[in-house]
Amino acid sequence: MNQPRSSNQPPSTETTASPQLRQEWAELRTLLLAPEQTQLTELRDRIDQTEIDARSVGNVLAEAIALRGKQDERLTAALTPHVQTALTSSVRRTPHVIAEAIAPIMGPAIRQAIVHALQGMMQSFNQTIDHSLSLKGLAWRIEAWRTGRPFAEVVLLHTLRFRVEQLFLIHRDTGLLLHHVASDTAVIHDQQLVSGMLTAIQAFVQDTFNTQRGQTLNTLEVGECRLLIEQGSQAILACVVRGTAPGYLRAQVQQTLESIQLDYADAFAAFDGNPSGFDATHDRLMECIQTQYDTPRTTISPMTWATFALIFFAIAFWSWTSYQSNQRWQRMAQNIRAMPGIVVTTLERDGHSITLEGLRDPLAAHPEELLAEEGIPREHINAHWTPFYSLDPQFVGERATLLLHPPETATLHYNDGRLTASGTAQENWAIHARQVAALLPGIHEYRDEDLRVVSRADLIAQLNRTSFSFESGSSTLSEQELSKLAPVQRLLEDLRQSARVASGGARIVVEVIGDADPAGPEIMNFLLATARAHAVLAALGGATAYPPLTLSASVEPTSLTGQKRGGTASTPNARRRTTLLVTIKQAVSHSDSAP
Amino acid sequence: MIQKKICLLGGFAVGKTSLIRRFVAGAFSEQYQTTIGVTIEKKTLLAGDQDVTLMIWDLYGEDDFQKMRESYLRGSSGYILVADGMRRTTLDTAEALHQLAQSTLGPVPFVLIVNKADQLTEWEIDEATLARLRHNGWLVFTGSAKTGDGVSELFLRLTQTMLDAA
Repeated sequence: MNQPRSSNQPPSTETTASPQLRQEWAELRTLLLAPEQTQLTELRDRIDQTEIDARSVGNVLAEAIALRGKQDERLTAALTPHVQTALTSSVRRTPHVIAEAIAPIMGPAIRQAIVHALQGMMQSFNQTIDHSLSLKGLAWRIEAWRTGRPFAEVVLLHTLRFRVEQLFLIHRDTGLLLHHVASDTAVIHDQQLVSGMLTAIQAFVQDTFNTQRGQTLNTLEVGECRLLIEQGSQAILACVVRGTAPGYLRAQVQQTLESIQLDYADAFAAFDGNPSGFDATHDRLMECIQTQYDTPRTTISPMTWATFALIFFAIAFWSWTSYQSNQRWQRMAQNIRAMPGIVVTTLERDGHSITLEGLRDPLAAHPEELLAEEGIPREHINAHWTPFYSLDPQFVGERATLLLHPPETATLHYNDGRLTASGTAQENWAIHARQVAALLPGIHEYRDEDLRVVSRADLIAQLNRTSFSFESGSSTLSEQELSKLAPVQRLLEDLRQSARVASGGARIVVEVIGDADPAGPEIMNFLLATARAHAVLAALGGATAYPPLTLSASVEPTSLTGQKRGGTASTPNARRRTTLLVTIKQAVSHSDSAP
Repeated sequence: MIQKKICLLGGFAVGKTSLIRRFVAGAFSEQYQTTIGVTIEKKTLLAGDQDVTLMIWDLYGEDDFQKMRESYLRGSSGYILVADGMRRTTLDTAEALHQLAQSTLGPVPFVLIVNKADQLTEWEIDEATLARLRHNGWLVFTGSAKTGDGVSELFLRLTQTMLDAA
């Protein structure tokens, strides 16, 4: 209607027409446009009315929501999906807004949860440490191994005096769960089913045993778990306790139930199956959730003492044996180093193995023997010795004796670089010793002034001049004659030594020749001469007293008196005697006699 | 979330436990296991715009030797009567239990299901009988725990009726 007219359109008749004409126009317009005009008017009114309605609804919206919310839960149910959607959308788009909004709540809550968890962990850890060394702890370890549960859990179960794990607040008539709280460590099954079954059990017991009114099942006990049941007029409060519940706990549960029934009387009266009205009982129920452990012992268990004592004695014993072993080793090392004729260059101990290296005089003792005497097995000793000549006086003298090999009648003595020979020796040995001794290491001087040097010829001559006189008719040596024996024996000993070193296989024969004067029968004289020869031979020690000398007894024939020894006939007294005749007999039946 | 306690009542071996198993777990077993005492199951369903958790008490089947314990009924917001279509007497038992429940609980919502509809040809309960019950204001369902027919509808209808009555 308000559209602009085109420039070639004729001027409006409305402005120029008469009133009658205007009326006719109006009638015509009404006839033609009446329905559209009516609709237009209605639309205009609706727009105006909507603005008014929004304004008016906005004014009462808060009050309306509050009133509707009090009536029932439908408003909540209607708004819940939209609020959830709006919240989800808001979190996705601008998460920081929600984060900032809930930070004041979440911060303390998270901190409290962490502290709670750490406290629980520390308590559990302390319990575990406390019992890890005791006899009881050992038994618990076996139990943990047997049941496959962690050791900490077993310790916790055994040291727990009691722990209230769960509380069920149950509507008495319906058996429906009103609220449930539990400790952090509790194993929670479907609490609504548990609640229902508890009510069923309660009813079963009451019906079965036909109990009086007010007498209800108030305790269930299974293993370490006990269920305390308090029944009120409106609700049942069931308390799951692990361990031995103290007496005050039932009273506390009872008081809690009574206070809840009192404070929530309206909620109980209006209960239609919606438990949200009892959410506020949470804190009150949580006061009953508590844990109490056995008081930790302040004294150390005997087992711990015994363990510490055992460790202490073991360490002490180990230290003492180590010290002893070390001292013993030091002493052994010192003794080995001090051994004459030994120069130690390496002496090491590696565990049980011992390594010895150095120089060793062949005459020196073996250090391995010393170690073996100390109890060290020979297979643990590795010894490598390089031979050398030690100038220790002990070895110089011994070495000289070994090399010079003096006769038994001669003795070598070493002192401070000087080797002294004494006693009696053959001339050839004396000459040999004099030549060699000066060449021996460690000997600076050789002295043999005290050595009596004898030759075989001298000895034989002296022996051949020997005679033992007898009384007439006697074959017994007088005291005076017996005194001659010792010098003769020395001569025989020297001759024996001479015979031992002699070469060429010659045999020296000492003949003891008996004799008698011509008075009396010849046969008697012969027997007497024989007895005298045997008497002297026996006095000298017998035929084999001086090996390899051969001693024999014989008789000077009367016809050959003195001839056997190359002498001449003499006086009768001179013939009452026994003489010695030394002859050297060659191996080839050739004999030679001394002059 | 609203919780409601309901009970299943019926004679011996009418299929109460099977109906619950079908509804809660969607399963069925041919093997018969008698219920001793009571077992309780839980199922949450959406009725209208509201989540409702049903605490379903499966009471043992009443027979000549076991009588229903009234104490198990106490606090129920509704109940389901179960009859076996192949045994006429189970309907009589259901009616008797209905009387007991009404006297214990008062006029709470209830529904009747005649079970074992999968063997309809062997039924002893005729449609006229069911019509009479409907005429008396009963909500009557026929269904089968074995096939699942009518089971969900049964529980949903009872739930809605209970919510409406609240």
